[in-house]
Amino acid sequence: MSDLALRSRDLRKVYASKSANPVTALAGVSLEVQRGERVALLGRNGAGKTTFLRIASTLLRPTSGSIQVFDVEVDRHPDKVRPYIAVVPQEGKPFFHLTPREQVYTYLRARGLTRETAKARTEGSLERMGLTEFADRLSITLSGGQRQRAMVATVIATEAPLLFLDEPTIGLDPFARRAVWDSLRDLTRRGSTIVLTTHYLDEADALSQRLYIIERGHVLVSGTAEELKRSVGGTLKVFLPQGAPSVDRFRGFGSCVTDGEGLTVIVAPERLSELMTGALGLGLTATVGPVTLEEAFLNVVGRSIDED
Amino acid sequence: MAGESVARQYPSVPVRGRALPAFLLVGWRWISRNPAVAITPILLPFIFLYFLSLISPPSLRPLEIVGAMLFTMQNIGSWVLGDSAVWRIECSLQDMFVASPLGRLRYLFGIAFSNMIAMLPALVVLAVLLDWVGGSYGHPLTWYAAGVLLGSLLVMWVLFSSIGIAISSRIRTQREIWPVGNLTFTLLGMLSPLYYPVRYLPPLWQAAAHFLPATYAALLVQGALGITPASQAQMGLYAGLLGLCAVVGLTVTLRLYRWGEL
Amino acid sequence: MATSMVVQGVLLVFVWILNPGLIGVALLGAVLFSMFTMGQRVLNEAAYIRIDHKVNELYLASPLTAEGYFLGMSAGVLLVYLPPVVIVGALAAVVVHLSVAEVGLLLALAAAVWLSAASIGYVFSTAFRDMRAIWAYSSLFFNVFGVLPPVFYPLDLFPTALRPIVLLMPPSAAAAILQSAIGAAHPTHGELLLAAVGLVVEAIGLFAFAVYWARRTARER
Repeated sequence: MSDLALRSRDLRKVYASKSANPVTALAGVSLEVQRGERVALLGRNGAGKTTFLRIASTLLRPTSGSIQVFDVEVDRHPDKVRPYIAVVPQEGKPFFHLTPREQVYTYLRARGLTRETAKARTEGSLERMGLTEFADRLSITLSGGQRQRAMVATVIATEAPLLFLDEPTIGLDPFARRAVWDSLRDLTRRGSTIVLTTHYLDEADALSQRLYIIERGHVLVSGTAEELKRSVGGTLKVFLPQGAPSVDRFRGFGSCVTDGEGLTVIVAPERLSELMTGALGLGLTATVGPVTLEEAFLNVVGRSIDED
Repeated sequence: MAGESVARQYPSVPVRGRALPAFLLVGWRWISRNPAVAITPILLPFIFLYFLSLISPPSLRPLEIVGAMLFTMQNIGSWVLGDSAVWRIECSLQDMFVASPLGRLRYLFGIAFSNMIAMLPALVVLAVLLDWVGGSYGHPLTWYAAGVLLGSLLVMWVLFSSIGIAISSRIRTQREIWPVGNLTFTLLGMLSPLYYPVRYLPPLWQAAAHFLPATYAALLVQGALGITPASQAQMGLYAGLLGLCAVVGLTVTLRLYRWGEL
Repeated sequence: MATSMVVQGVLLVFVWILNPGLIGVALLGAVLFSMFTMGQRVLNEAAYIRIDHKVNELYLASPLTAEGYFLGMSAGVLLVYLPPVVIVGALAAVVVHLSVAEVGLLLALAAAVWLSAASIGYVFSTAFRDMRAIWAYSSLFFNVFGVLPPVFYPLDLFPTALRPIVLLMPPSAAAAILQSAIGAAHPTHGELLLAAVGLVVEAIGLFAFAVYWARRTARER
């Protein structure tokens, strides 16, 4: 058996539509996830991340291409794959008439766990997700963030060999997000493999051991967060607020990202001094910081959009 | 063989889910926290029976009670439809069960079972009423009749739960749930002669009713109770046709029933 | 639209098969019951928009008043579900040979029932957080109010001792008045007065309460 938990080859998914042109959600995605890895899929809205996740977790049929989970063809033998996976769907909600404790326990029992194992894992999962205080409150009375935590707790408790999480920390406060991260790290230490989609680049940076950037159904780039940050041509960024007419002269120092607030220049350390001297000499305000995944993402995806 | 290697790698992972312990809790908690959910299936048949008692001859009472029981069981399809659609569309919970070892048939059984919990009190009360009223009209609930009734109810439960979940898997928005369920199952209840003898229907409608499983369930139970006399051969025929309708119905519905796209 | 006539259809079939002589009363009852179940539609619609989509918040945080939202929704439901009611009403008018005055009475009673039901439906919709609970409770409520009381059958068949209760329910009050007008039932003067006054008071009172409740819940939910 290979060391791969997940492998896709040229995976395509086209959604047919009676009223409009067919939509190509995946245009040939090839990627691999090693066992015990935490991999994040990043991309803009509509890039194809959720479609990929849903195909991998046996919820959708691919149009063409292949995808294997633990060396089993998902398309041909979904029932062989399903015992070994679990999924947190996007915008999922728990059973409204159950408490989080009942929700987790019910799901574990449905997965075939014994009463004792289900009870023990339920308590552990609720504690890890900080839900002990709310464990016996009806889900319908919980806030959106608490419900999301209940959904994540449900799937974490399965300790399945391969977990798919679609935007798992959406709507969660910073403490809750870190609780999720800690739980996921703990799971991979114990042998589970995690594939998640996220829009939170700090989450992808902190949590993923490798990530894939997907845009319009293609994989644009893959690697570790550090590799991606280095690929933009510098490790530091200088932010120059907009309004000053001379800002544009600094575009030559490296790749740039413009937003409504100003210009961010990615610069190599050896050119920083020159840039700062120039900016301050013109009376501009400049802020320096390390390059984050956001700049890398904007750079990679922005280039892709420009090329198109 | 596909999957053997991963099964050896993860021997402690259950490869088969269990619907009963999970959905017993789901169903019990639903009625214990929403008592009206249990009261509604109890009261609705009695509301109809009261209405019928005012407009129909008294000799039809036992037949109407049998009809109420079969209609209650048929209507479980509507509740199964609603639950499975809400859990899939609103909560995305079905995705979690698809990506698990539970399997589509166990999931179907689970939802059907959880809704049966709410229906049981109504069926028990109606059975007691049937024995009492039936007895006073010379049609007591004998062991034989009870067995036929139970068998018919079981077939109806399986078939109409399957119809409910199959239809629900094709519904796209929450707004469609109630009207589709209401229309489907109330119409089925209306077309089948559950509350009156089949001979009361116009000829064309009688012919159409003979394509519906509930018609044979009604004829079987009425025959077993002696309400609508039937020979052994006729009873055998009704049972066979009920079985055939059930097999055809289940085949079609299980083909329609979408469990993910795989 | 078809789904709005399902229960009425079932009861009409029962009457047609088991006691065809009552079909005229049943048809008129179907019209009134249909107007009453529009309250159930308002309940479902308002709850669905609030619970599922939270779109009500968009409208309420706008120049649209809370009562405007309630009335607009009720009128929208009326518009959608009126056509089959009109067809059944026309059928009833033909079968029962209604005079012009009786048709006018039917329209007035239908309007009063609709106003009461829409108000009840909207107020109830604010009490729920789970669509599944709504279906169970609303089904019970509207069937108890519409099927059990003498709406589809003559008031004369209903126990005398319990008549004051059903005559305070909008659909059965309206049905009693109409049945009396066409000679299908023979309520006492007191019963008729109770039905008429009760119906008017309920229509106005429930509507006023619904407006008050709409304003109040717009701020608290």
